[in-house]
Amino acid sequence: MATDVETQDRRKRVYDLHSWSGICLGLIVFVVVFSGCIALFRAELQTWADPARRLDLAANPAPIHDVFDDWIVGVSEGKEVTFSSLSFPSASDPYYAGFVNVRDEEGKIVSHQQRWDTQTAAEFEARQAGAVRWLYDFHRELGWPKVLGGRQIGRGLVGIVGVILMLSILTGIITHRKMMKEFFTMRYTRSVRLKWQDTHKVLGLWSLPFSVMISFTGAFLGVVALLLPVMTLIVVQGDTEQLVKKLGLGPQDKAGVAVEMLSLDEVRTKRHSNTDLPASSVSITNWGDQSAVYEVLYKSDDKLIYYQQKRISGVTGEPLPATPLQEQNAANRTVGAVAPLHYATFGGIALKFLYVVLAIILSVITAFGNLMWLERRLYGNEGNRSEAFYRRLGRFTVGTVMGLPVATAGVLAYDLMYTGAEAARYNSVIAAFFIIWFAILALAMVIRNQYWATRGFMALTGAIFALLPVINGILYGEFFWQAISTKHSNAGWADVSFLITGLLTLGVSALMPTRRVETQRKPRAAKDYRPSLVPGE
Amino acid sequence: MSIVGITIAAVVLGILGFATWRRPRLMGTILWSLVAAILLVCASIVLTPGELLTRIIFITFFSPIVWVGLMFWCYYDKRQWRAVGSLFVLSIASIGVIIVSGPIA
Repeated sequence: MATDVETQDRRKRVYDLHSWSGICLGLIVFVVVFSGCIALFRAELQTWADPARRLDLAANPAPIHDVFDDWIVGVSEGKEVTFSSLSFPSASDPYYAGFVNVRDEEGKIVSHQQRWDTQTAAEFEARQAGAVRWLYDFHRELGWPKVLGGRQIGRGLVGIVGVILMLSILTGIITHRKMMKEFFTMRYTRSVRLKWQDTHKVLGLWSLPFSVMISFTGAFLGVVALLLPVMTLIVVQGDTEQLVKKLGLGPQDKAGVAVEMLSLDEVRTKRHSNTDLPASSVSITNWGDQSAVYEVLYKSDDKLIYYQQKRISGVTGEPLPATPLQEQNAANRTVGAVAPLHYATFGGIALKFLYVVLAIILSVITAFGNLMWLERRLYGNEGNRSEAFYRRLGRFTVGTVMGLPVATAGVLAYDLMYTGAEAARYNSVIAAFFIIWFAILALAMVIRNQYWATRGFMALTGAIFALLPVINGILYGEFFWQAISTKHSNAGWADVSFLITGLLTLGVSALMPTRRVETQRKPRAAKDYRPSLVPGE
Repeated sequence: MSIVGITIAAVVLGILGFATWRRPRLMGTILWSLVAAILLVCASIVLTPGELLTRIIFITFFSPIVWVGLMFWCYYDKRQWRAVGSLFVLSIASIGVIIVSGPIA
């Protein structure tokens, strides 16, 4: 049976683990969680970001099969087509989108993309990936550079952030013994530290189910993708070829006989036999060959599965056996539910807005945790370093935490106003993002009054978000009140959301203090006095 | 493996060993819990019955939870060397299970 001293030591160790894992990685957790707020709305923001995509969706889209076939013939120029796909039009993406990988003479894979409108199947040039795509990539992979390992490593690092968040949640729960009482304890009139501490605990407790879910699904999507090949290699002791064959994951051999492909227009009109979902896209293997296979995807927006999938012959349309990864068994369904849970694709736009609120709460929890740690060292009796060191750390925290929202809003505005070469848009957006962020960080390091700095940066964020609809309307001639009533209302509603976000942020910044409020301690009553328990003191 | 490779591996192991001796709980949390989690999950895949892909998917699904649990244990256990030592024992036992069972494909 553990003694009181042992229990106290254990509680202190767990508390230290919570505290140190939070302070060492809390800022990175904040960055990943906050960037997820925009990543959630990637699909909805695409037409907002690129006016060329605000097309009218035809009730009966123009046939695309022959156009797609001619395009593949044109871009491949007789070389091997290793992969191709066609996305069908939808309300959020009112156009056809084609993608093809071609192996060139040196064996390198070259990708090509094209879009066609639904009225006439005419080609149109859409913008290259910009701010919305960058913010999504930043959340998923931190934009990790290729020279340091690229997307796979970045994704693994984000997954580790999810693991650390899970650890912080577990240690946080163990540390707090009086959880039921702490659910409703908010001491606003006491010291600054107590105010932040109570906010940290209350927000943490009330958003616990969401935090547990988002940390686990994030850890799974990031870490397991990295660890699964390692584990598989260990389990098969290097014989991956045998495993790939056993799981039916190997490439489909070509028959070498050229035949006419099953019409993609016919595939588009057929709904899923069980769920009645419309076909959203088709991935094609061995296009133009007798062995061609169509993997038809039926995207779900109200189920805990990203999409249903069917394999059919690309020549006859006959159903083919599902691969082991496509079978609708318990394991595949469980894993298939992770991405929809993480990205809130199963409950409509209202669910996404709920996720945003909870994600901002989680961001605030991590930021407040860092501030509490600093507060105990600047105004308490913890810590061995100088006051100047902790003040610099405090400024760094403010600059990082407040710089990210400013950079997010700023880069969305930059992308709207960008007039440079399309091929350079994505890299230009990345540069603008980090320049803005580091500029705010540099400012925060020199501003002595951190309360004033935080308030100012928050006001700047709100102002930029509120200006986004204005910039959009001036540049593209369609303000949100006009866009909402058209068929491509996503852009209009995105503007409304930015306006509301901007105004709310400005309102919150107006309520923030401009200086540290002095500690208000309750005067100690005579009856509260207890003599020291240490003899001789 | 070349002499250079062996030397580098020895130096790295030496550094990790020294760090573990000085800070067993911290090294257990940062490194050995991950190693033990990977090997434990692999051994579980090898040992459990059932269809191969289902085993790989289901058991790997829980790997983040196993990892977090082992990290937490390093600080929760009263005796620091009991927790870290157990991670080593788990890792070695898992390697033994994987080798004895042979490749599962």
